[in-house]
Amino acid sequence: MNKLLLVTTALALAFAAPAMAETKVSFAYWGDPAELPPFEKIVADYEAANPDVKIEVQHAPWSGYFTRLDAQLAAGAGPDVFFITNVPTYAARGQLEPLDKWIADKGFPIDQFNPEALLIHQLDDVLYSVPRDNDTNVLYYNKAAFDEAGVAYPTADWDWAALRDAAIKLTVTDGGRITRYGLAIEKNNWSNWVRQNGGTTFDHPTRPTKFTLDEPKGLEAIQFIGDLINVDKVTPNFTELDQAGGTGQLFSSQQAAIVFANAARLGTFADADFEWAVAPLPKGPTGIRSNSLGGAGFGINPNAKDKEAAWNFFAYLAGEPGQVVFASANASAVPAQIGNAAVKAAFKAPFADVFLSEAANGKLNASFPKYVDITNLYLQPALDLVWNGEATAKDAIGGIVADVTAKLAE
Amino acid sequence: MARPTRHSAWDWVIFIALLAGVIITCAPFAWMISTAIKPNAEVFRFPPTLWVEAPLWDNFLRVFTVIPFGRAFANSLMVTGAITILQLIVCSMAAYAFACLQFRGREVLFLIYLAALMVPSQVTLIPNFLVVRNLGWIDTYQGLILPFAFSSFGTFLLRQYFKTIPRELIEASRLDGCSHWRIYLFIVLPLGKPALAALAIFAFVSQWNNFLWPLITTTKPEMQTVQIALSTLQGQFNTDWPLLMAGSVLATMPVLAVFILGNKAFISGLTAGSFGGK
Repeated sequence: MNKLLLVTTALALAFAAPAMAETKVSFAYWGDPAELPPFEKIVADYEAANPDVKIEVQHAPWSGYFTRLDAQLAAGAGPDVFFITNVPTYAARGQLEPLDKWIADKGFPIDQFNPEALLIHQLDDVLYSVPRDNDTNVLYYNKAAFDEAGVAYPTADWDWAALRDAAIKLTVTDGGRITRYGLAIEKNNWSNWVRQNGGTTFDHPTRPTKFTLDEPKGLEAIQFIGDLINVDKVTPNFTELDQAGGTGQLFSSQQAAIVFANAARLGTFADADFEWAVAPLPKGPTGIRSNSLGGAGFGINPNAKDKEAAWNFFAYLAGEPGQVVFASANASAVPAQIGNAAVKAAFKAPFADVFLSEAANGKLNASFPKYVDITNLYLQPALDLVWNGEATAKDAIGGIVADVTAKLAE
Repeated sequence: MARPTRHSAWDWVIFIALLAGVIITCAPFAWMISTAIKPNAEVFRFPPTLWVEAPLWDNFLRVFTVIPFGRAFANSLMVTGAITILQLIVCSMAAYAFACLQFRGREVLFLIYLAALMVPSQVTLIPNFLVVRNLGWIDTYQGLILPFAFSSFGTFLLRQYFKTIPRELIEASRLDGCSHWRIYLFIVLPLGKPALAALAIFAFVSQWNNFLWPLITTTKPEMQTVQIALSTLQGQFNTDWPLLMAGSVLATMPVLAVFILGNKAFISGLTAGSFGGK
């Protein structure tokens, strides 16, 4: 009798022990080698603080991350906690855990995040992920080029006119070929210019009912960019920009004196062989300040085996402890939890004050399911006409109003 | 007196056209090699510098420390080598059956095999992933290797070649009491050398460059193949082009080696065939 009891106890222990010793949570993220240290530190810190939990890391390159994630999720598998963008798409497929109840039950400080930044992490007013950072743009400028052209460095008071004026003076032409552009900007940032001019693209960024880019303020902004490219010839058109390796390469090789780009460039430009600095984006003609907003976030897999464990790691990663690590990393972006004093203090990137003040001006770009179609079918072709100097903003944008309106009404 | 070689104008036209082709084909290679030793700021400079001012040879060493390149390279060699050998064995056996054996339903079965050629790999990706996952083969060598052990293309290629082997040869061996196993090993395989070499080249190159499957079925850095490891150098915002190209130069070497080796066997096999036969 005693023997039997002993054997059963031993068996029970043998089966119970591994389960008690370790809870496994898998965590997937992307990043190039420079972006990885904060992820690794958070995982190591969390495991040290929770010896009974093992975080299984799944890293993938940016270029293949979503291919793998889609395949895993489609197969009903996938990591328990993952880094994610395009949240509404995944939420609509039921591949993200709704977070509102968890946040309320566990008291996660969601109010320390910019509410507008949370909009793109929602679907139908339900939150599915928590942003990690803000994709805040600033104005990077080559000091040597400014000195050489005798132009005063940009200040917080710069407006579009000052920018254009400087860009013209900074552009260098050699034998009919432009060897240095005054200004290089990224193709997908035009809507921020529209906002700086007091215009809008739609009446609401996530729940639009009306296309509003054809109103005078919007058209003016689009035409202004088009003129920088085609009339003043101080900004490369976007095809040329792509071929030259993007704004980062143009700036590094001193083929552009000013670029608008995000904090990821701090690392790229760190070993540039010339002096450069950072200034806020210029304000619009009437003094309006606007910046882009939104970044990737973290979500939880609704199929996670141990949701409680997944949430605990998620709350650590997306909340203050994780945010502090991300904010203090070398290759850091402007943190998302800017309402938290510890996070704000940890953000010590070069020119941190400029990034933080600009992050406060962040406004959302259009982000709703039909927007992809609208962009591909109508908006991008019309804008390309303007960027290529083949049509005025009024004609090009005016020509797609009926189509976009019909698509919105579908 | 040596006869002066005369070239017609037409020869020159052909020569220049071919030269243009050579330049177009080689330019990306030249760019890859020169970029591999450039400092970052020089990569997109215009006009492009073909000869690098201060070559940075240590990019080739740096790629081993920034990413686990050595391990990934060994993984790729192991996985690609194993797949190539398995495909040669499995496909040649299947091809022998389809070409040299008589059995009911042979042609129908072969048609079904051919149909498998028409199914794009994207369609079978998720089902294959599910199978491998349920077997617990994520992050394992068998998960990377076994799904590719068979190839309907390889079977087709070898079967067509084996069919050209004179039937008299096989029938004679049968009369002499040769088993199918011996015919396969000592007659069909040696005669099939050019086709086997061609299949080896195809299999090696396509598996060495395979990206999607290893991407999906590996999650740990120590199981990644060289293509996956290299792609981690391409970030969302930044790409270290010199490092990426240094890695790419190294990653091209095995393919080049296999091509040079395999090509010799391929050509020698072809010429051997042209003298034999009768």
